[in-house]
Amino acid sequence: MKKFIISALIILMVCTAVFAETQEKVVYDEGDYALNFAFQPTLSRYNAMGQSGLALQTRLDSFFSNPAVLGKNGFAMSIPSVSVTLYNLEKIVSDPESVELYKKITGGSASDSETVKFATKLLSNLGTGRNLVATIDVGAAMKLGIFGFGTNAQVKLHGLNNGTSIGSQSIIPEINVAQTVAFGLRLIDTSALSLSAGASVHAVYKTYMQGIDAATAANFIGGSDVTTTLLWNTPTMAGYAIPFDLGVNIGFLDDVITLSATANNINGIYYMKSYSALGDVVNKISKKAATPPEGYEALDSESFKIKTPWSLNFGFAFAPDVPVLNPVLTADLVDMFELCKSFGSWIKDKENSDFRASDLLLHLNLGAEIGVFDIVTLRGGINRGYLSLGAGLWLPFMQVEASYGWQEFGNQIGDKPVDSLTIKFSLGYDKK
Amino acid sequence: MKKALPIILLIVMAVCLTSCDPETLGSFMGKMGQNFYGLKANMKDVNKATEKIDNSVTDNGDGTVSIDLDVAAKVIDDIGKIKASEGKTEEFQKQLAEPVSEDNGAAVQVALQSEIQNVIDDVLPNPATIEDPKAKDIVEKVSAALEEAKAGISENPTRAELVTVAVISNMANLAQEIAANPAMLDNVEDQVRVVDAGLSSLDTLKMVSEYAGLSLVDGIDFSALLEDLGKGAEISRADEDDAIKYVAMAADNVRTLIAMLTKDGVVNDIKYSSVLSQAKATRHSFELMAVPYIKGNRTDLADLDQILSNKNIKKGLSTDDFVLYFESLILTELDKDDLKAFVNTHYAKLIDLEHYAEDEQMASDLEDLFDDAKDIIKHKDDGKYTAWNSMGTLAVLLVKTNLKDTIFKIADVESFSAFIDEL
Repeated sequence: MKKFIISALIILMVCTAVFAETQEKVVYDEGDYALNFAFQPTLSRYNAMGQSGLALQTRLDSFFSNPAVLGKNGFAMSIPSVSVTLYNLEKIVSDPESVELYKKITGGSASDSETVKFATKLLSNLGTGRNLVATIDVGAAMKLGIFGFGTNAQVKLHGLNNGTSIGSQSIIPEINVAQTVAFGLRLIDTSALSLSAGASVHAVYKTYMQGIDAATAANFIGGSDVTTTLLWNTPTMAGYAIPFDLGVNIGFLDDVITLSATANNINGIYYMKSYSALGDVVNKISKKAATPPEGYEALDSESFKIKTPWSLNFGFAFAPDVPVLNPVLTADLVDMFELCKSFGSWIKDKENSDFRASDLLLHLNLGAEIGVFDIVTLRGGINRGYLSLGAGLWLPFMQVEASYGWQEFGNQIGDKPVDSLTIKFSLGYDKK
Repeated sequence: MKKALPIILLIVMAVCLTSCDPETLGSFMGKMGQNFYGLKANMKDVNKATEKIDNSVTDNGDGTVSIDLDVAAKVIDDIGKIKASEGKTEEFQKQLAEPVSEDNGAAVQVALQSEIQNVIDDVLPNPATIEDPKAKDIVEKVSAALEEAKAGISENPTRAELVTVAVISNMANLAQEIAANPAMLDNVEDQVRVVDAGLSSLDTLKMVSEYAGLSLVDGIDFSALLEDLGKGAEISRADEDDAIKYVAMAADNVRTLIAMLTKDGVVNDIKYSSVLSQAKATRHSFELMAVPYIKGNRTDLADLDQILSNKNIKKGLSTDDFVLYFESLILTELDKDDLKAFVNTHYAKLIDLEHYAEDEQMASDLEDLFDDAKDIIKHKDDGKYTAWNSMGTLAVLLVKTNLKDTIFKIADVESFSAFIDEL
């Protein structure tokens, strides 16, 4: 009996996903820890400025969140851009043992068990509820007159724990491939006043896998067979959506002051199917590209939908034309529809409503940017009360950007602030 | 030169940043994570829940108090909103730890014990009069949990204790209903109600109960475990000696559990009863959740195999829940006096498990202790498995926690009945 209990305890901590489960659909969009599967490419400048900048009209990546900026004609291109975002860094940096392990790993002197130990610490740091481990974006974008085109590929590693210990932690890989087409029109164009409107359509193909338990994930880094587990042993959901964004900009004094309104992720409904493994998805896209192992049998798919929320956002930007410094101040009011609903519920039933006046601050993101020595841009911001900062380096036909900041991953402010560091490289031409 | 200067400055800054002391860097990063506006989570739900608990206690003005457990049980409805928020959970647990009455704890203790006795006498039917074995088992378990709760009420009861008792008495109301009409367990709507009652009781207990919030396996070092067992997907039964090493890694949580049971180095009867009532309530919540899925003639293990292919059982519980049920099963089935004797004898080693995990005498005594507990998994009495509800709950949890394939692979079996036989 003792052996059983001890073995059982060990079993429970080492739940390797050796066999795939049934072809039931796997959804993570219900309950307290629903994951938001809406597609959004990583925008380093936006993150550094407290996730504000809807009304900024100058940069290439602005049209991904507000297509109306295309009304201001211009040319910009980045082929390619690559960004990597790592989350929960503060916990690693603050833990001396983690720092020591990291140094050994980067120095090449870490043993396999030390590497796995570091991976285990990364997973433990994810805590309860939802989190992110890392995001990698690769993309190309072009702004040509009033049109904008973008292609993005994104890999995201979600963490989800509906228990309390690492034994209940799972890692959910998500892959998005998106093609964006946008256009903007300048309807009024005077130095005193300008009015622009725009629309963008995103064709998004999304896949995500059934959660991989923490032990298996830690073992990947220790050298176990990643390919077989991910390609043939993990049920995968795949599908597409065609969401679109609408935007309106009003500019004053030669666009020194700009006000914006955007509705983002309209029609964000993903039409999904369940597959036995990622290999089946690959073979569906490109026949026989992946060879299944002997004895492998794919099961039938189940169709289902995932609805991702749309959002109504307002933006303000103040960008006076000051040479060299190019200062910018931005303020965005995000997710206004939810705020209005909450306010409406307070009007109807003050006693039972959760609305507080301070909730307005939770929807307010502020940002600032200033140029230094003509090739460096420094940025900072406040995102729902959490600070962020970043910098951009402008070299001939190349930009390097970095941002570090915190954001709320919990259901309420203060529940689960998570930090992230983004480094982005772009080759191409873009206006500062 | 003008363009080179900023590049040089950047390189210098990058070098400074990367050679920055990690502690300083970590501190700076942590400060950025403080909310600039000083905003905190809205505690309205927490205050509302605490108010419900306080409203269930009435000062009679003569030094005595009255407690309405039905009013206190209404807090179950608020747990969903609170548990979704870590900030609210922390604040709620802080408020739960406070005493119900600052200056009249003795009266609250007496009132609580009296209310529990009322529930046992007036709400629960006599198990001897119940024919249906499922209903009989439910009533017996709730009754046992109430008896322990009565014995475990502290001299100055906290809100947490009051809510735990309220949750168990709420389960008693449902047990009464099931005993009066066992056929309701075959009705789909009632099945949903019973399952929901089990799950919401469990959520509440995890919030309010110190025992239910403890995870004995948390803290086991994955990396060392994986190194010893070998990398890769092939996991074999662990060598017993190696296994003990990993049990020692749960030393912190074992210490917490021992502290919950003891006072001044020996098991305290009131504290033990309190922990036992929490463990019984936790166990019963799981079994209540599982009872509508457990069908069969309670003699043939193959009937339990059917549970694992039941598509109506939705996944949604975590590995932690499986462990919690297992812990509760063992703790509530161990002989009380034997466990007391074990803890008293080996107290010094149990609170220093890192150094005594391989102590032979302790291991041998533990083996004897668990020989009792294993009967609850395989207990046969005239061909009938008397631990039917427990085994059935394990089967349901294997589905709900999505652990079926993994456990079967490790145990090298293909069915639940084979798994039970293998033990």
